[in-house]
Amino acid sequence: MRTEAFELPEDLKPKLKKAKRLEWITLVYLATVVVLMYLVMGSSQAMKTAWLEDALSMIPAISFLIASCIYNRKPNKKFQFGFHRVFTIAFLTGSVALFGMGLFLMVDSAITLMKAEHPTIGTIMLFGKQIWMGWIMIAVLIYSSLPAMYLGYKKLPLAKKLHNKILYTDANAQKADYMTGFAAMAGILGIGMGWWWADASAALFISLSVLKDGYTNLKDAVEDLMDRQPLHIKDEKPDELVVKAENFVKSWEWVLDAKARFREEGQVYFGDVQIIAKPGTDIPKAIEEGLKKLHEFHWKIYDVTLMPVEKIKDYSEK
Amino acid sequence: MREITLLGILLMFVFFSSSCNFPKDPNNSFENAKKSSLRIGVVPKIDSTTISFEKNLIERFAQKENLQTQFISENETALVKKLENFELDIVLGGFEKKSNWKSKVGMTKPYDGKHVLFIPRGENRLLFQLEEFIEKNQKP
Repeated sequence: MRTEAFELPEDLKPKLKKAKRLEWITLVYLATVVVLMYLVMGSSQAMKTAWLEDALSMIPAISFLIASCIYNRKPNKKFQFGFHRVFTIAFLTGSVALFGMGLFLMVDSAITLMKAEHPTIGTIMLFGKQIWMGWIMIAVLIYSSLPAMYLGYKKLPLAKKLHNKILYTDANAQKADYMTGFAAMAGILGIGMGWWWADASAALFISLSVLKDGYTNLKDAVEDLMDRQPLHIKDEKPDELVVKAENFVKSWEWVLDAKARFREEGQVYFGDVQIIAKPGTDIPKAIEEGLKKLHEFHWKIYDVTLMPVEKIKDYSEK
Repeated sequence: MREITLLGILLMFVFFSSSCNFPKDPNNSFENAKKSSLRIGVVPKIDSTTISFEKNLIERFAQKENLQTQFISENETALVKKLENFELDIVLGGFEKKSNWKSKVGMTKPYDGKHVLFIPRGENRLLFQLEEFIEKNQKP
């Protein structure tokens, strides 16, 4: 049982710091995007959808920053397991928002398409020249996609190293943001071509991608809260760390057999290991030493119970 | 990455095949006005100075673009209905930016900071031409 405040291993501390800095940059940048997009939005459905998507993509950044202030507090009387799950909660919040907005945008765009609304886009006087607002919208869309893509690429490896899902989702969504941008640009160009339906169709396409992201994340967040086995955040495959830890315990000379199960609590793993000990072992002492070794084995294995049993109960599917 | 490249090529194609004469009208209002005439609906109102300024503005616009004009006078509701069905190109009535017809029509930018002209929704070429003219002929 751990009672001290949680500290990342030394080599990961600068990574978390960098992630936090990138999220602050993301927030400031997104704020400028949201204001600019709102100013040029006009009556384009695709612009409205892309705008809402950008406004919404501030949520993961905000929840990551809030959660990263809380997650490493010391366990106390009220929260005896510490505060690691705050990351899972942030992840759930973000995915609910994404999923809900995806639904809203899909319905909204579909209605616009069915009502056959023709988007009206006017002009603006810039440097003494009459310019179609569509071109300005496209310029703003480029501003909303390219830097976002870059930020996503920078955050992705950090999220994998830190085993942080909210950061990963954020990074991945931003990496894919150019799709939204391109779809919206295609919609605007379509309007310019005289295809009134292009705009709402592009919006529908964007909303479907938002919906898909929202659904995947929502499912993931709920499964995390239901203590699913730990998965890699990149490829959704079971983390081999569980088996490695189990084999590590089995390799101790006082252990005859062992079975481990872990669950994710934010970035770290909690769990228990059933152990059949060799007869004559000084069990309390062996367990104290074993816990220490396990904690040093990997930073993700954070809070473990070593449980001496007579017969191992197997809960895994055969 | 393949989808992105394809999408990029498509965008480029759309762009280059149409960079002249951009934006277009989905219902070709401006092109049709050139071929036959510009159909203008006028709401009969007591405030005749506004209406006559608007009429004059449009006549000068038609002259500059070399368009025939055709004025009809009817009540507001009937005119907006015709505009929605693309039976008219412009409706004049001393409308303001926050008009109740907002969701049914397209609007030009105000010619005096307050009053706008109605056009059919989404006819962006017509709107472009009108706004270009309005910009140069702002009412003081």
